[in-house]
Amino acid sequence: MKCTPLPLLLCAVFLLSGCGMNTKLDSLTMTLTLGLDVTDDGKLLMYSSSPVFNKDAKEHTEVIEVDASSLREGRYKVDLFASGRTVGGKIQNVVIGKKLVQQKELLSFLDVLYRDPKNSTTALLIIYDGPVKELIESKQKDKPRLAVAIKDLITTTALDKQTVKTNLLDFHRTLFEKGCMPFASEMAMKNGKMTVKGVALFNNKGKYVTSLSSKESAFLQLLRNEIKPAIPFTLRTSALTGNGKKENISVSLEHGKVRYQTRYRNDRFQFHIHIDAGTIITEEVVNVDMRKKQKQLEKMIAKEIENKTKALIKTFQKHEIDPIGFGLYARAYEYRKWKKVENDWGKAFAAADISVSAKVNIISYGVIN
Amino acid sequence: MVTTRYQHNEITIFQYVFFIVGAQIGIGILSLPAEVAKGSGTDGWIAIIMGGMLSIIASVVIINIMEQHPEDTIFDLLPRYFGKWLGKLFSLAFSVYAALAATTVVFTAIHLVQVWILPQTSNYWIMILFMIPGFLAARNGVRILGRYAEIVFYMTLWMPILIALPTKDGHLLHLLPVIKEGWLPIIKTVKMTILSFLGFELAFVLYPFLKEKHLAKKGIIIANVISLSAFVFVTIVSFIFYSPDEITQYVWPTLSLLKTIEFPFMERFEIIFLAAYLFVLSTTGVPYIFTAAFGISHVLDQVDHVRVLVVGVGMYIVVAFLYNPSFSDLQTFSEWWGKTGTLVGYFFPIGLWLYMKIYQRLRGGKPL
Repeated sequence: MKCTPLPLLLCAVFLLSGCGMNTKLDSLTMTLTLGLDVTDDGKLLMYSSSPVFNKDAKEHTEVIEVDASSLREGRYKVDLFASGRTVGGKIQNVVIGKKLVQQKELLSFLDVLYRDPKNSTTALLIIYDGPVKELIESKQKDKPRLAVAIKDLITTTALDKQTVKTNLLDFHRTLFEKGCMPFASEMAMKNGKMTVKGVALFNNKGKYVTSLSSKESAFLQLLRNEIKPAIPFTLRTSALTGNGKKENISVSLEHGKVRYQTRYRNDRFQFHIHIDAGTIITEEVVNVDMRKKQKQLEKMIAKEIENKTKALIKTFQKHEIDPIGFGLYARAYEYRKWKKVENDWGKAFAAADISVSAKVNIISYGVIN
Repeated sequence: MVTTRYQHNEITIFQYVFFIVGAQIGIGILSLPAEVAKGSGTDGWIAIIMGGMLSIIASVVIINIMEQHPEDTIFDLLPRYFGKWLGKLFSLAFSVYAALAATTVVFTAIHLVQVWILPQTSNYWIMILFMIPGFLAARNGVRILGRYAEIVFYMTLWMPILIALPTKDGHLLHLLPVIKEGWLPIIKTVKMTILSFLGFELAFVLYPFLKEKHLAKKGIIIANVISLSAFVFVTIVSFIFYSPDEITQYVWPTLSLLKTIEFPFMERFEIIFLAAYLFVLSTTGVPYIFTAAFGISHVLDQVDHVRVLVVGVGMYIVVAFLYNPSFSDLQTFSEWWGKTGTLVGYFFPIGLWLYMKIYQRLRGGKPL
């Protein structure tokens, strides 16, 4: 009994709804940048910036502002304004007003982005210092489309370690991890141009706590053992010339090892971080023969790294936040003690003894003497 | 009895191994990391290894049973030992179990397709599209299914490489300390892994078709080891990537893992992965559909299983028109499959083996 499946197949193909409900690109309102902010009287504002594919339109970006109680509700309201059907699958950036994260815990707002698999979770999460409207409606003539410009700005700045690159999924991961707290890049407007401001830090509930400058961001990433491709920083010192005038030396930390030791003594956690770094001198303003003073220079850079990282850790402890992820080490090596404090890790972290030691090895001085 | 009727449908040892691997790797692997993490945190992979050991033991018992009557499937063997009617009753129970497994796999596959890929397409169209190739494969019996399973296995070898990609953003530290809460939670978690390993019990049907019967035991152990390594691999990758506190937030951590993979020219890579994964799901669903049809046709004394298969496939399509199971329904299905699977895959072989030993002892040490 041979039965050909052809008629059956043909029926299926003709009746499938896929071809009937096709979607044309220019009839879609693809939100590329999603903005969230709060008004002074506590109302949630949602912004959607989407490209317009129509040669008659004067602006090639459509910005829609609605007030909403949640993102999903906001999306339906955006639909009222948008000429096309709104879709969220192509979101590149989620920009969130600093005021909002200072007042409210972030996760409940973002839930729909995680729950609906049609949404992209690789969108960048950015905290904006100021009203989000300002950024999302800004027209930067010398830049590509806003969504692309923001993404490029963050991505390239993060390569230089001046900020971090956190996407929605990273945020979710660190938020639910009890031993590590979330962080995201922070932007601001300066003289009408958007700039990267540094790193915004959150507590375990997803509430904004404090910010780091772009210089501190480099050391945060050093502590997190995220050295690649390189961590650049500049130190000012008068120790080399000896004439009391401070001079700049720029250093690029090319590779290195960060080792963490974890112990539990005297009712508190003890962490020791040892940084073993290989550096390149990229700029020396001071005019001395550095080769002769290599040992001294290496020590100086090591001292600088120690000081900067210790100061950073002090800040974290003061605010009871742990973006470095010491909790992971506490869990891995002192599980029983960790289990007792895991739901209040911020406090336990603030009480911990943390010491840093650094060893620097200069690989090269560049191609000129 | 018709003793040589399976010879025209013989399968090689490779087809036999991949048939079983295909039946084992299916829907379980998508949610397994989250499930074992709920039970015993990041020690879940130890539970999976223990579950694998159990399934190897059960598989070897099954082969031991089948070796005594190398020309029989379970549906020929049961009437031999229990008489016509009781044997038929047991055969029917086995077929119903296979049908339950097939139903679970098929409806879960449809649900996955609807959630992740085709939210606007009605479930009955997806069902029809699944059932046409499924019917064509199952109608020709074990050899075609074996060949299909083998080619699907080779076709999907790229998947583990892709799944391993996200580990570069993970922390090995998540796996430490090993055995954090002692052995008890791990042992309790073993039962959650049982569902994933089910599939080896199809050896009850497969054995008489195997050409190289002396390799049957080795083959089924290799099949179990392949599945075991796949499960442990996916679980460890998920544990490295997700933090132990976060992983339980996901229903299908394996798929969410793939969502992070992004190329400059393509986003949402999991859609492509899932579309390819449908082949893997089909090597779970179709053998079970075949087994159910094959068993019922034996119970009804039909020579050919195609008629039963037509009715079965028709029923699936009709049911899909009337009923679209919700996610919680599917979980109930899975639970039931897990429960009956424990019975059919683990307790039944051991019981049968003991029964046969006693039966043979009573008849003076001679097999039937």
